[in-house]
Parts: sequence; C-alpha cells; structure tokens
Amino acid sequence: MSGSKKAKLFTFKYFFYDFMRVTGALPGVIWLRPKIRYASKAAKKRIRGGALVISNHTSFVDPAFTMFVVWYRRQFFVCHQAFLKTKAGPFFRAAGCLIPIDAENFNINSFRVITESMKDGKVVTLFPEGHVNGEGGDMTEFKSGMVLLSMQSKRPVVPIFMKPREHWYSRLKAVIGEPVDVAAMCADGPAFKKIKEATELLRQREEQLEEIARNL
Amino acid sequence: MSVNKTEITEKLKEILLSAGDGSFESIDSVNEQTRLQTDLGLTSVNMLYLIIATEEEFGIRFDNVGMNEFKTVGDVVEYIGERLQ
Repeated sequence: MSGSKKAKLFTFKYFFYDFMRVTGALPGVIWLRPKIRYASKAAKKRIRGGALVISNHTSFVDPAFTMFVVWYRRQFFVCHQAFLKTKAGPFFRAAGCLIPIDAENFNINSFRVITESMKDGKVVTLFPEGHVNGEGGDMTEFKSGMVLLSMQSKRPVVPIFMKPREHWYSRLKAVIGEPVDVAAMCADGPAFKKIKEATELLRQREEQLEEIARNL
Repeated sequence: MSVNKTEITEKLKEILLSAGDGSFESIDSVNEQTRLQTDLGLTSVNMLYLIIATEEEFGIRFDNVGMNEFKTVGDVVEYIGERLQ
C-alpha cells in the first residue's frame, strides 16, 4: 500500500498510548473476540505508511473497536473539540491519539495537521458520517472532507465496516475493504464534482462491506 | 507580485465554478458582495476546497483561518490582496 514514509514503531511521545494499547489488548481480545473479514485479496494487504481509515459510526466506543480491526498500527482519531470536554477527553488527549477539529468553524490549520500526519506515515481514522448514527438503519450521508484529506496527502482511503453489536458481550465483527487511491481519481483537475463522485464511491464501498458483514 | 482586485475576482470566479456543485445560475452575477454560504450555497467542505485551490492558484498560504470567517467573495478577494502584497 502506498505512503512512502513509515511511522516509527516506538517513540516516547506515544509511550502512554502504546502502553494503553498493549495492556488493553488481551482483555479487549477476550471481551470482543474480533472476527475480521476482508472484501478481497487486495484488502488483506496490511497498511504500510500513511493512510486514512474510514468507518461507519454506530457507537461512542467505535474508535476503541477500530484499534482491534487495524490492530497492528497506531491510529490517530479525528474528533470534535467538544469531545475533549467529556470525562474521557483529557485521557485520550494525554495519550496523544486525538486530532481535535472545530466542526462548526473548520480551520485550515486542522486540515494541515491531518494531512501532514498522513504524509508522516501515520494512520488517521475518521468517521465520515460526522456523528454517531446510533439509531440503526442505513448509514447517513458521508461528508466530502475525507476525500480532500486523502487527495492533499496523496494517501489511500481504507474503508472498514463494523457490524453494530447487539449486546455488550457480542463479538466484534468487521470487514476491511480494498484501499482506494482518491488522489489518482482526482488527478486531472480536482473539481468539486469529482470530489463528490469520490465521496459517493467510498459510500458505495462501505455499503458493499456492510453487505458482507451481514453474513458474518 | 502585483495583481489588482479585478484580476483576483476573475480568477476567484473560476475557482468558485469548480468549488461549487455546478448549481450556480450564472457565475457572471457573482460580485464582491455575493455571500459565499447563503448566495452560493457553499458548505464548509466547498470552502475548504476554495481555500486549497486559491492557495495553489495564487501561490499564497492562508493563515489559521476558520471556514466561517469569509462571509463574502469580497472578503476572500481582500484577503488574497493582502497576502500578495
């Protein structure tokens, strides 16, 4: 998978985050018993270098669940600034795994922080629905910001779908899709129309993964 | 680089054409008083695209600005003018 620069396997900057991941791994695996499927052979290939992981969003603990889906990489989560004011906010901020954004008045610097992170080889995870869709049913409309992020950083988008869990003890079932090279799609003049088309394509990919997840 | 306001506005109109959903009735009717969000219907993502495309077109870099800080086309033209000086 593309993304020339590799993230460091260990750095003191993320010591607390890595500590959290390592100590939480065993109890998490016992509790969630992750069952992961791949949409195709190409989807099986591990993410190397920077990438943007996108997922459906049905519960507040989805960021923790994505850590068990793409378990082999340290992930950075794009979250609303308001999350930092919650009880869990400072904890995750201290871990250094959050990239807070102001959803009401999105800032160009936040955009640059996210694209630079991906260029530096980090895996950034976001939920393109922009909110928790806890009501069940179909996924809501995807926001196009993810396409701009991928286009500017020239890093692929990796769609994953996590099947909504019925009980707290249900297994975590997820499907990983093939990476999508958005930058290549918008190579000849990134008109907004193309960005909309890429957003629609990514949504279709998510729906395909949802279909696979139904049979898990 | 010296570019006058009219040139900036014309270039910006071209960018606006690609930044929008193609739903503008006529780009010719766009002037400095045109409001980006209410008149042209630009969302925050459209605005983000507008900023990125403007940076590339004019070779400037926007400071730490929020998407809601530009209300009208004139605000963007003025900002670009300041950055080009």
